[in-house]
Amino acid sequence: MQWIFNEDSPIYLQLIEQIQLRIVSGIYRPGLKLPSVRDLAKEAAVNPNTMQRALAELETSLLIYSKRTAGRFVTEDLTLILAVKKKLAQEKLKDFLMNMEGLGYTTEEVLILLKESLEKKEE
Amino acid sequence: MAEYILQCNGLSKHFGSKFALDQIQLNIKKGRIVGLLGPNGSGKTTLIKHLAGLLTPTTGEVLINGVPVGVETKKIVSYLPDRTYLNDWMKVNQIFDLFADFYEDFDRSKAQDMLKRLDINPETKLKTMSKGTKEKVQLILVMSREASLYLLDEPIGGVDPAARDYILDTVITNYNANASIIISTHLISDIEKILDDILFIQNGKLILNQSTDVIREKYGQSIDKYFREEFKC
Amino acid sequence: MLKKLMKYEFQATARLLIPFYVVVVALSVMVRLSYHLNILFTTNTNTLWSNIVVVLFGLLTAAYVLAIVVMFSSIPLFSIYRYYKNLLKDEGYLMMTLPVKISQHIWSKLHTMSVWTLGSVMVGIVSIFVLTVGTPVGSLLYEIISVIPTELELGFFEIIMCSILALLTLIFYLYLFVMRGYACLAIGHKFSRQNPIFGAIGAYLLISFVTQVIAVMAIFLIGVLSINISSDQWLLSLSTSTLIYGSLLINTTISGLLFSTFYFITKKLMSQSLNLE
Repeated sequence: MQWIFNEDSPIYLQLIEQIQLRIVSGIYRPGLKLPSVRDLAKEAAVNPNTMQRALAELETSLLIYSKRTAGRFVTEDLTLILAVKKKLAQEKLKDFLMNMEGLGYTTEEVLILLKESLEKKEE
Repeated sequence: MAEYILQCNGLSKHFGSKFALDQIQLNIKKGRIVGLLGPNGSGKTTLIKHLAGLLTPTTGEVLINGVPVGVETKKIVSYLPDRTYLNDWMKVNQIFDLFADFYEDFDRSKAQDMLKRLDINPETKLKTMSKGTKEKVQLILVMSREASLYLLDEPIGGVDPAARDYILDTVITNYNANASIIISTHLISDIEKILDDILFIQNGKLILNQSTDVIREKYGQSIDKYFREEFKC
Repeated sequence: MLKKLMKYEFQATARLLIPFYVVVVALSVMVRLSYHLNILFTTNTNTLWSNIVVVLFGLLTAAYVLAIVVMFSSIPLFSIYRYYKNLLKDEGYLMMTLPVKISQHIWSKLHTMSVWTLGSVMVGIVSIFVLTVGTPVGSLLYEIISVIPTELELGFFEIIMCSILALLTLIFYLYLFVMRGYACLAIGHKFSRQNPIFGAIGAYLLISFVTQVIAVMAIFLIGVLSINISSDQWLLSLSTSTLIYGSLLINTTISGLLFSTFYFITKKLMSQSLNLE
């Protein structure tokens, strides 16, 4: 998975989002030992201080915990991960619904379009 | 150990009647990666040369780790100029010898490692190398020192994207919380993501001294865009 | 630090100067060989070959003399050039950011030059030996040399002391010559940014002019003083040795003062007015 950054918001906020994504989608499995700050920063091509800040905030939110000298690990609290996953999904749904409204679709039309799209995906 | 790794107090430099630097006032703490940005001719290189000890101020002072610029500060400052300073007749190994002789903080094994990863033979004569390879050797020399202040003057200008990525990668890898790095460039978008703080110079004056996060939060746009709009550069 | 700088200075300059030494010795060997060839062929009156051999001998001798002259004269000039290339051009970005005082840069280059000068003197002696040993000229030379000590009533010790003194004097004046060159380069670098070499040459002409003027004034002053002091025979009454020692002393003092002046000018300009481009 690539690290993608846009121009609008501070890098550390975008890093938090991207790490959250990796955790909820399973790319970073629960209990996984994360690479060092420096290695992660290198991978993402960002300042190590910025990566450090993002990881510190994630620690506060308990998605990540650090074990003294052993490093940082993804939480094994599946409930929490699911909760974060749902929250991210809800944000994306909110954006989606706003966009559809912008296109001029009603709620019923949106549901129909959604069902069609999902059926097509099954094939 | 001083609180700031770098302090400029009222630093001004005249060349004849021209002000190359005008009352520069700034403090930089350890562990920061700082971008020195500004249009060409704004004074970036002049400022860096003062920190490296190649120019002396007309008025004001420069303190590195609390000490005025001189022989002692040159021991802890690692400087990469925007040109090749290597002589022709040496081999890479010999320039390593020179650095090891004059700089106590030169980590030769690290330099040899970096050389190997770039597939450069240490027995090669410098004069047979292409410009790009020489620039890489210079970067290796500078980054293999355990210095307190690194000065990189336009390291990514005129360099192909792969080389640029290598340079930024090297900077990130060699980052340590006890040292600060100042990177000067007029190409902001390429290096924004690795910068902690931004110094913006125009016409010899320090117009802006701010962290990248604050600038993005305040203006909701990338540094590059902000500067293009604010300063038309 | 000084030793390390000298090590690099030697490495950088050896690549050019060692070949010179080799060329001088090689040429002296070749001159010697062609000398013997000459004897061989001219005694056989084989006209074509004898002409060729004579011409060869002439050419080789000329080449040898040229090589010797170049070897000696190039060393101080090369030292001045080295200063320019190593400290005032692109290499200066490396050299002037080393944790080294400017005085150490200056002395390392001066001392390296003196070592090469001593080396050339030795090479010169060796080449003369190669040229003359076992020849009539050689025997004459050695006769003269062996006679000098007894004629001038000089002991072995005194001869050694004189040779060392002569060498030291040579090196002292070379230091003065080169230091003046460094000062001119530093002045040219500061005041003539567009064309530092022209600036340096201008500085050299100016300095020469000023030192000449001062010398003339000093002589004039001595003349005036000697007339006024007492009898006009004052200068003539001094013994030869007093005159020699006296003028040596004055000369050395003045040269020493000049050297210090050039040294401090160079040091000041390099520390405060350096502006590499």
